[in-house]
Amino acid sequence: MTRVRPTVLAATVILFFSLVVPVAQLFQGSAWVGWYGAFGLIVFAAGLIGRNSGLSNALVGVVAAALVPPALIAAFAADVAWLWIIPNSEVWGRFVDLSADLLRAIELEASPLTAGPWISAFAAVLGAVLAWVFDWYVFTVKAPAATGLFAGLVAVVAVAFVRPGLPLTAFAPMALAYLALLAVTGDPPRPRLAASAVVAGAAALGLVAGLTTPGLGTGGFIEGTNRKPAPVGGRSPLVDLGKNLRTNPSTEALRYTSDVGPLYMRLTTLGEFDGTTWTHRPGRQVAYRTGQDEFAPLPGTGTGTAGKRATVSVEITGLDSEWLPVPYQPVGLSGGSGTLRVDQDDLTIAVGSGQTQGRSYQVSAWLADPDSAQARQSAVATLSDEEVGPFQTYTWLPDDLPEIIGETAREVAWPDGPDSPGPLDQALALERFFHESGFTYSLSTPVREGYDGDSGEVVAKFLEVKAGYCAHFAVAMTLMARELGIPARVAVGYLPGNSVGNTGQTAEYSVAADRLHAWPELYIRGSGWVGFEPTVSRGSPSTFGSATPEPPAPSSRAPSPSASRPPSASPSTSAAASPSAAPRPPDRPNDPNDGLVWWVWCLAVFAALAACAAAPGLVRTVVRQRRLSLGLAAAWSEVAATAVDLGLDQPLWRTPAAMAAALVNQLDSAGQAEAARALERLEAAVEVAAYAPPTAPNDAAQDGPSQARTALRGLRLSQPWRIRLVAWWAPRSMRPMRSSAVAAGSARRRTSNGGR
Amino acid sequence: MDPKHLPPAPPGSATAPPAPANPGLAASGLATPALGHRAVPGHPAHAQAQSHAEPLEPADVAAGAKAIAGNIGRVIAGKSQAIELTVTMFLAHGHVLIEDVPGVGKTMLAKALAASIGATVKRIQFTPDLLPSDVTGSPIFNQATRQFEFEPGPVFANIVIADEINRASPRTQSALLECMEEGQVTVEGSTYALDSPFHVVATQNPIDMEGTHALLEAQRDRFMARISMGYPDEEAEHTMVRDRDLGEPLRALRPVASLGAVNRMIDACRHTYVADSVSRYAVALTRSTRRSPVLALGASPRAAVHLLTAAKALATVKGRGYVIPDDIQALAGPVLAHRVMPVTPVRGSGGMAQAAAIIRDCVATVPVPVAAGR
Repeated sequence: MTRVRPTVLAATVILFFSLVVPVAQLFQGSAWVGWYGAFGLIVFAAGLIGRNSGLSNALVGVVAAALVPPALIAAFAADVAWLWIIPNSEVWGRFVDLSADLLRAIELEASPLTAGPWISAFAAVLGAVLAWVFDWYVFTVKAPAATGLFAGLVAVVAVAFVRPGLPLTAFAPMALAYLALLAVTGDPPRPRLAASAVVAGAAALGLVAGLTTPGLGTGGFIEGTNRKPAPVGGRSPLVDLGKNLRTNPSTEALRYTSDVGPLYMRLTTLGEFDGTTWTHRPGRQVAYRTGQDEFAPLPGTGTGTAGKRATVSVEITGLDSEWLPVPYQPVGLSGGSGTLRVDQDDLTIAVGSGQTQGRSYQVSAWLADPDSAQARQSAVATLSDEEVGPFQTYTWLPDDLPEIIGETAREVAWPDGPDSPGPLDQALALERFFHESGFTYSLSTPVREGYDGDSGEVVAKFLEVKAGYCAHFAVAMTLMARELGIPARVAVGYLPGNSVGNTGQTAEYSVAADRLHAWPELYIRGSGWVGFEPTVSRGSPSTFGSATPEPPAPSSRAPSPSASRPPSASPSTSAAASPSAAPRPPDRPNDPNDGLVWWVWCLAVFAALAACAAAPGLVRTVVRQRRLSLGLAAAWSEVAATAVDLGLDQPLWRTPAAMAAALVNQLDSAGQAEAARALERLEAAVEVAAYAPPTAPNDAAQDGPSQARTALRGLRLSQPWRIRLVAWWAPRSMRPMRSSAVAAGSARRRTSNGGR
Repeated sequence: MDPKHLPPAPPGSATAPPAPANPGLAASGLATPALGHRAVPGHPAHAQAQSHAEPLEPADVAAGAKAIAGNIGRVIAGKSQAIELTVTMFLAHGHVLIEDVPGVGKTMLAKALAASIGATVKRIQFTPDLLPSDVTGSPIFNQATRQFEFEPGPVFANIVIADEINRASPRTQSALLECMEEGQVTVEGSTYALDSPFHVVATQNPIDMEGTHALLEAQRDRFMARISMGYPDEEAEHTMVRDRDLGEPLRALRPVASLGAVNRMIDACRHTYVADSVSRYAVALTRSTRRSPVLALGASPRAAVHLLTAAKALATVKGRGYVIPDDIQALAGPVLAHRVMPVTPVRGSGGMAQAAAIIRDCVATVPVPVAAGR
């Protein structure tokens, strides 16, 4: 109906694109921005063309919404659709797959999510929905302020999914664009030049803020910020680790080049457990100058076992620690300067505190292969007592350890009594247990439920609630292994990180600070200390194709525990050990609770949408209560506003008496006599309050609010339910006040039509 | 004179016609003494005594105004709005311009008002050869005293009916307008105060006739309101036609209020409370006419003064002690319409309707203040 003001449209589009900055924290890469923008622009363009060619506002909304599904099909399922855009069952299946992929990616991966077609599709839908909502609220409902609700919702989701450490600058463009939109849609309309200046200024500032925010684009990373977290330390290293996980930024901590694929980078181990706290157990420290001969191998480990050698170059870019991150098991180190101290017990490599930053060095490591025939042979039997001797620290358990830990361990790993499988199979069974029993990864649940820590009680609670982060998984598996007589300790370090480059045999990986991790190391005879990965949705379970855990699973492939079973494991024990080990359809989420998760997700989305939709009505209710408590004039303006909501508009030039007369007429004809009398009494009181001398008595003033309530109820009841619903859901009085000239014009039209 | 053909009379007036017939005023003890009192004309600097102890309550004024309007209604049927407006303007101490086609009772209205309050009434028939001294009066040589003595003109009366004012020359019109503005007459260096209340009811025909001099904008501005009578409806016209033959109806009218009481009513109207928001509203309304694109000339600041004064009288006549925006809106047409000049004026009687419509549109551009004034 009304032509679109270019400055308002520009401000709206800028607000739309300003959301890219916080959302960028959710996804890897920048391809999704194109889809987001393209679908948003389709909707905005449809709105612009529709309105400027005189379509009614409602029709514009319908047309813009109707354009989106064909565009989605053309973009993501053109190859299976009829005539590129006509949906069929295959198209439906395609989108079901895409959403399943998306949900799995959300479940399995920490943000940012890896790029993929599902991200593009999600970005396209997000762009279309947001653009439609903005268009609707700015141009149809004419309540541009409401866009803030949706922008805020996106920001909240970004914060919730990314981590609390999202920099404030990520929201600056959004806030600027929002203010600019409010500025150019004010009443009376701003002069064109001023409005253009505001919009241009907001766009420029937003661009600057966006480009300097980490996570957007390629040049935007702030490398080596001042936040160099010391990963672990203090009284309870694992509690610290949890805190770090919650606060660490996604900035890079280190990068490494490896010739054997991705590797876990270990900092240290926590082997000493006093019943409540896990601490590093300092062993014999041996000074080591870089470039010297290889470390003396520990008995039963290292180059003596089956495995292979890896050469890794590490560059620390944003980590401040007293230990050097190295892949296990390091046998030699060169590069850098100064003297290192090598712990002869667990091969932790210590430097002076604060000396890790900027250091680069080459590590040669021995990667044991527990899968090899030689290793398997020696791993069959449990350790004899004298073999356990050197590892006494690593099998010690407090007397008051909760029963549930041992019981669970034996139930999981000893299906046929204490002697059934060898230690390696027992360990794998434990690992599998965490992946297949509905455990979820959550940084917040332990804190919320009060079991954040590393004591035995915490582990018992964790086994019960089945939600926690890596420290809980690692400690639980460590304790369970000790219950089975397997020496075990907790390793602390970094997940393998993301691949950032590839040159022939070697690949380069970047590890972010929030990839800090803890995992159990178990001593397996014939292989030495072997790392396992019980933590769900972080890394992936052992496969022993290579001797180290694999990098984070590509999201298209769910972790399939059955594949990780050693081929030589006896089929009978495998089937008996875990009924859920049967192969699952590859595109189904592997968790029995996933059906529930899916519905929870849907419900949450619907609840959020409903909350957004109801927001104007809720705000209106708040405004109503406030007005009714602010005295007669405010109560009267509330009556006028409710009349506007219900379509009983009263022109601004109507006096209270004239307005009351019109509304009383309406009420009386609808049979709301009580409300009509209440309205009359309220009007009389309002008139005295507003125009009479201050000394005039106004007896009716006291019960003004109650009269107003009666009158308002009557007014609503005088209208059919459809109008009442619209009045609640999209209250027209929430629109910005029109200029008086417009009001007068429409008032005159209405009067000439017979008035109301 | 058959009583049954008369319009229903207010109670009491039939039984004791000469006595003040308003119970409200009688009860408040106002109507008794000054019946027939009139100022002695010709006394320089004569002033009506205003020594009233207590201002009247709005309810008393309302009762008095209702009695006067009812009395006038006995001779002019079916014109209650015009009558009420005339009474209100009288109590607002504002002069009125009754503009309408001949023969609808303009003069009758003015005369009935005068008769209802026992005031002196003079009628001046304006003609092209009427001179200013014919209006104001002039010094006459007295043979007996051998001195010039001022002989007061017809303007020395409480109510002056200036019939067909647009037929006189502008010079004579100006003489009357000066009296209206100043409230006094200055002849040959001597100043003579006019009666109080002094109320001019001018009539003019809207149709342009030969030999007329239309009032200029500045002259129209002196009138507080322009009142249009309009034709009576069929029933009222029939009653009028039937009763007119039975005799001059004005003779049956008896005063219902004394001049003193009327002066106190005027005083009460002047003291009616106006909230700040309401006076601002009156100003905003007046100013909106100056912004109107269809008006070549908007209303003057004097118009705003008149508008608020008239609104105070209307509020009081309705028995309210304070002005509400409804009063302002009700009077915006009568008070403002004759002062504005449309860009494309409609000639003849349509001009009044056009101006009234423009003022209505102006009213529709000004939001009514509702904020509590306390």
